[in-house]
Formats: sequence, C-alpha cells, structure tokens
Amino acid sequence: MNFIKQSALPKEGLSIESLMELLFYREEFLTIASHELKTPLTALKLHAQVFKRNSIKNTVTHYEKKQVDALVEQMESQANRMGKLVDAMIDISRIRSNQMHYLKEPFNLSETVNSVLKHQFIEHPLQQFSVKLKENITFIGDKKRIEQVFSNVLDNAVKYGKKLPIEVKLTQRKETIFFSVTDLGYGISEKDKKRIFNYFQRAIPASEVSGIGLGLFIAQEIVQAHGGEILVKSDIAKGSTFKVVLKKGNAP
Amino acid sequence: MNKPICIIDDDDEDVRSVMCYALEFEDIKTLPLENGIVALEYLSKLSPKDYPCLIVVDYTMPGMSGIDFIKTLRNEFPESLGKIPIALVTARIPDKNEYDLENLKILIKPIDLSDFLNLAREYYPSPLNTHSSF
Ligand SMILES: Nc1ncnc2c1ncn2[C@@H]1O[C@H](COP(=O)(O)OP(=O)(O)OP(=O)(O)O)[C@@H](O)[C@H]1O
Ligand SMILES: [Mg+2]
Repeated sequence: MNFIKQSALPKEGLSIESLMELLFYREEFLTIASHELKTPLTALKLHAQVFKRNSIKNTVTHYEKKQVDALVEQMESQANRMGKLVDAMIDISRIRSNQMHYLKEPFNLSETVNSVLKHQFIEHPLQQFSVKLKENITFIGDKKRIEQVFSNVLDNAVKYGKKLPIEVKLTQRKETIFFSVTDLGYGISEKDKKRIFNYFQRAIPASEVSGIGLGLFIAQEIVQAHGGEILVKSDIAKGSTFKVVLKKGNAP
Repeated sequence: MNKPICIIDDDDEDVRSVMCYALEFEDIKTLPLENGIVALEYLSKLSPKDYPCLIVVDYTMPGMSGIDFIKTLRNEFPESLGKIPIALVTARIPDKNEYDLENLKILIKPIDLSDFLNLAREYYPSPLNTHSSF
C-alpha cells in the first residue's frame, strides 16, 4: 500500500522510540528556554514600567542623572541577556537539526585571540590576565564561530574564577593548536566534568553565579565540527583548565 | 497587623532588585532575600510582631522551590509564620489543582507593574494608618 510505503522510515532511520525521545527533549528544551527568557523579560518590563509611571507622575525631574543612567544601564543589560539567550537558542536548534553552517576560510588565529582578549579587558577592567600568545598562527575554519568558543571559555574563567588571576595560552606543536585558559576559582568535581557539556547543565547555582548552561554545549559543537576537542582539567575548589585543541587541516 | 515590610525572595538578582526598586518608589519598604532557605532561616528568627505583611516568592529557585517554601511555612508553622500572606511568582500559568493552597496570590511572568503594586498595596498598611499613631 502506498501509504505504508511513504510513512515507513528508511532502514537506517530513527525508531519510534528515539523519535519520541527527540520530541521529549524538544519539549523540555522549550520549557526551560521560555522560563529562562521570562526572567530577564520580567526585569526589563518592570524597569520600563517604573520609568513610565514616574514619567507620567512627572517625578522625572526628581531623578538624578545618576539614577537614570543606572536604570537605563540595567535595562540594557537585561535586553542583552535576552539577546544572548535567543542567540544561544537559535544556535542550539541549528545544531540539533544539523543546520549549523560553517565558513571555511583561512584566518590569523592569534589575532582572533587578541581581539577576544581585548574585549575581555574592556568588559572586566579589574580582572587580571597573564597572556602567552604565539603570533601568526593561521587556521582554516569559521572565524566568528571560533571566536565564540574562545569568548565562552574566557567568560567562564572570569565568571567562575573568583576574581583570581587567569592564565591564557595559545601555542602550536606541529600541526596542533592549543588554546588554554586556566583559572583558580570554583573548580569542577569529577562527576560534573562530562555533564557540563550538555545543554542547560550547570554545576554552580544561579544564586552564586548566574548563567544558562548553554555556553559549553555550543562551544563543544563548534570545536568538534572543526575536528577538534575541548579538554578539562580541574580540582574542585582549586581551579580549572579548559583546553581547546584544534588540528590544522581539519576544517569543517 | 504585621510590620510594614515586604520580603522579596528571588534568586535572580535583576528581578529581585527591580521589584524592590519598584516598591520603594511607592514608599513601600522591602527586604530582598536570595532564596527559600535563606528566607526560612530569616523568618524563623522573627518574633510575631516583626512578621512582614507580604512575602513575594519566586517559583524556580535552587535548593528549595517557591512552592516547597510555602508548603513548609504553612505545614510547619500553621498558626504563626504560615499565616503571612504570600504571592508566588511563576513563569507558567499553573494548573488549577497544582497549588491547592488557600490565600495564595499568583503573579505570572512577565509581571505587570500595576498588578504588582496593587497586590502590595492590598497587604501593605496605608501611610495614613502607620503615621496616625504619631
Ligand atoms: N572555568 C570554570 N570553572 C568552574 N566551573 C565551570 C567553569 N566553566 C564552566 N563551569 C561549569 O560548567 C557549567 C556549564 O558552563 P556553560 O558555559 O555551558 O554555562 P553557564 O556558564 O552556566 O551559562 P552560559 O550559557 O551563560 O555560558 C557552569 O554552569 C559551571 O557550573
Ligand atoms: Mg558559560
């Protein structure tokens, strides 16, 4: 019968069970993601409404410039938080549906690390970094995506590094490139080391350090698509080293 | 009459601070706390005359969810702390029988400022009352 033929899945296709599992994960993902979105949305909306209310009551003249600046800054940061989350959700849905497309262009990886670092210095003026960079390492791949990986790993080192100095190294041995970031912060227990690479998996409560738990999942996907891997070495309460290993000539 | 202060119990710093900010603008005093466990600990040390007039609590918090916090208060201290009015903040429209709890207000994210202020005013003693004793 035609109908059966059409609906039958290819031999190597997914079973009903694994399809159900995929559906379940999608549901779960959407539930968590919308929860995560509604929190900064609440903060942003309340901020805007407080502002509006006071403007209507004509108490705006009582605002000091400093207060207005602080308010607007907070609104901006909530909007940014939502923007980041939406970006991450789009990335994840691309990853899950195999729609992540990577450029394959030669670029100067040392410069990429430099520009990511420059950004970090501006964002976190009080954070100490010690940097050892090999100049002029070239790599073929998606520059923007690799940049994203480095930023994610650095963001984490700053977030979970307890404000202690961070060591950043970019080295090359033969055809292998190593980007490593070492912090002296929280560290990661043995049982969490694998888990944190899954989406929405976090090992530190949001009341201590906020985050959504998508950064490493996406970073790992990008690195693997470039034929590389991310390695973790860590001792709980002592610190962590995340090492991105890329092989020249293994472009996506 | 409980003390004119609202407890804002939310693990998200941004939400917690803007809620306090919004209320302070209306001359409503607030006390921010960052999770259910901290709030329980704080409340259990209070003498009844210092009980807050309202607790606003987030549903999703690490360690102890908002709903577990409410159940603990009401089951373990039914005659004292359990009587403090509570508003639960949640991202999801709750099922009818999910919170089978009396005297529970629900605020759904993203919260509307006027709903939030109206709710606080409902429980917060009006300035006239608090100042008339002077
Ligand atoms: N340098 C680090 N030191 C200690 N723990 C870390 C470090 N980097 C990551 N982790 C742990 O791994 C978890 C997952 O990290 P990931 O970057 O995926 O998410 P996040 O930082 O929580 O949120 P975001 O998606 O905003 O980056 C973190 O929540 C944290 O528990
Ligand atoms: Mg992160």
